Amino acid sequence: MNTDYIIEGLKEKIRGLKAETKFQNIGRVVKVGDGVSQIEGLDKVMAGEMIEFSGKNSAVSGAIYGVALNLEEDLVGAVVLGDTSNIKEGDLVRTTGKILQVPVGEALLGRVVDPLGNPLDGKGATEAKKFSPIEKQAPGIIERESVNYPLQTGVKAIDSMIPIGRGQRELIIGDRQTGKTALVIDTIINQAGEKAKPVYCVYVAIGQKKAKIAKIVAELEKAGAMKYTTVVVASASEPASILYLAPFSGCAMAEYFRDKGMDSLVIYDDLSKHAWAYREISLLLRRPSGREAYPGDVFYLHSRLLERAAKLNPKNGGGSLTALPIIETHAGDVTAYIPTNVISITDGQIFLETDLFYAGIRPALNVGISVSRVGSAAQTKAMKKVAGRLRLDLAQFRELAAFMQFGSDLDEATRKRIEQGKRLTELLKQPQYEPIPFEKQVIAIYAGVNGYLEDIALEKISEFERFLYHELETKEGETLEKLRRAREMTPEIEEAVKRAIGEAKENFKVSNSAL
Amino acid sequence: MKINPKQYARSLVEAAEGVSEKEERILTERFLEILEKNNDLKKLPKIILEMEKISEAKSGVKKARLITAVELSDGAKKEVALKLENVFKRKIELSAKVVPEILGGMIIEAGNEILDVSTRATINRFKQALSV
Repeated sequence: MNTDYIIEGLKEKIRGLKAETKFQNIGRVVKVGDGVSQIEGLDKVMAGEMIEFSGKNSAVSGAIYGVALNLEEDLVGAVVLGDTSNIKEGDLVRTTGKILQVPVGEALLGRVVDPLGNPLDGKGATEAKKFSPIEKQAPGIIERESVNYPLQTGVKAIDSMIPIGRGQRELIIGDRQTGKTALVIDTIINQAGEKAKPVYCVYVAIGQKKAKIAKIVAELEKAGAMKYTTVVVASASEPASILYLAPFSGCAMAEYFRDKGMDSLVIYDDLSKHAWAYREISLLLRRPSGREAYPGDVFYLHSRLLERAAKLNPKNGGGSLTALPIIETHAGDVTAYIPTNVISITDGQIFLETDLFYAGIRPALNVGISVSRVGSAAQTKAMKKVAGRLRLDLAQFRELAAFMQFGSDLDEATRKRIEQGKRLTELLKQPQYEPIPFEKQVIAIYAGVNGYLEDIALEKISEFERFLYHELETKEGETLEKLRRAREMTPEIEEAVKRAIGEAKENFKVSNSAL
Repeated sequence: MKINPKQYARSLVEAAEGVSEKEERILTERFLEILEKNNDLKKLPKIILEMEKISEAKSGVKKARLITAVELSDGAKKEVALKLENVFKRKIELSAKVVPEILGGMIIEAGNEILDVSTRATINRFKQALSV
């Protein structure tokens, strides 16, 4: 039975092969090296077309492809998508008549692939049936609608004060080692809880260490997130051309779900390295350089990528693509060229600061200067109710921060505000790989802003929080479910929540004094 | 100012249009002097190549190469040349080469166009399709 199936498969493939008796436009390699090549001839090539190099061993190891980027008067400048050591001067180059395409579809979920769609996880070929060009026009104005449904990241500080909606572009910006990747991984893991409206994730790793990527994939597997995630990898050792293509490939894979009326999330980690790779290619292709040696169209590079993230109106399927680009700054300089470019493109930014990180505030979000331009349009009613108070309390706390030095020399009101602020800050801290579903977040923040944490010692706040969640799970499962379904704090639910928090506090005090 | 071989070739061919043989020789000498002055004598081989391309384009005769695994008869070659003339609408000057590695069929190279219906290429296509 098995052999019959194999034979049928082969017969299909052979039948599918059509004899090609038409002339192909060719050229010959004049220069090759550093990942780029100059080709003479190829007079009918189109800009951005895929070309095929027939180098040494190409019959054995498979054809080497390239993309024609520079169409000059007599020469074609192309980036080589592969090892240039197999190409020599005088080699034949053919046009393929195709723009660069990648496999897309459900078959890509759970896989780790390179920007050309080749599998990297050793699980065999991707059985993708559909191919999509990596460069595509963003949806027009008429096809869109404003963002109206939240993308729950599972990170309390973000979901309450810098909420992200489905279809938004939110930039995550910070120095190295401030927890940017940790935030996005927690966001991906949190989508496991979105059963009603699932979010399909694509994580694009650009220029990162293979060891780090392996760790990320392992964490996603452990959390069961790989079921709905595709990882596109262009690691640090890949040629600049592959790094340049990676975000566009990832976007094409995520767009598949957007265009089918589903919600998807794409993460570009990180676009700084992407800009470096593009600069490298442009300089090698002798394009004129501008500020910081970046080519003149480096803004267009990112703007056309990020414009493809959109919320489509119901007439066009109602799907969405949310983009979370990451930019790495140096010494907190957000006025550098690439950071300012991407800040002006995205619908808000999340600033992560090294000082906060080392002061123990993790996630190291600077809520004061972080912004989400979509704001409360992307929040559940329940969260909106508690988040407004949270923002206010923390803003007042920040203003009074300088007075913390005086300690006991303050009036009662100020002292209370400072204590409240300290407790809220403590509440917003969160360990890595532990995203919290929104209903639990709402209850925890409700407890915080309504003074329930006043009489709990500062260092016991996170312990109490965990205790509270445990109590809710075991004794108030129904309330949690009601809140999750209704997405707003009805008076009935509010009563149940107040009761639950009160009880949890009692039990907490008891268990603590017992120690 | 950098002048590429194509521009040199065009300038000489256009300057030498419709002149007598004696004048042609004088023009060529002057051309070589200019090349020397511009330090571009090393571009001469490329310039000659470009001039050949221009004269070929002008004469309306297209050069084509026919590569086969075994030697074709003169009649067969004439047939191929005729078919190509229909395709390109120009007179074809066919040169033939025998390359046993292609195993069968033929490869036709004409300027920047190539038609590869060799057995080797077909086998490679099969190999690619079946290996996925």
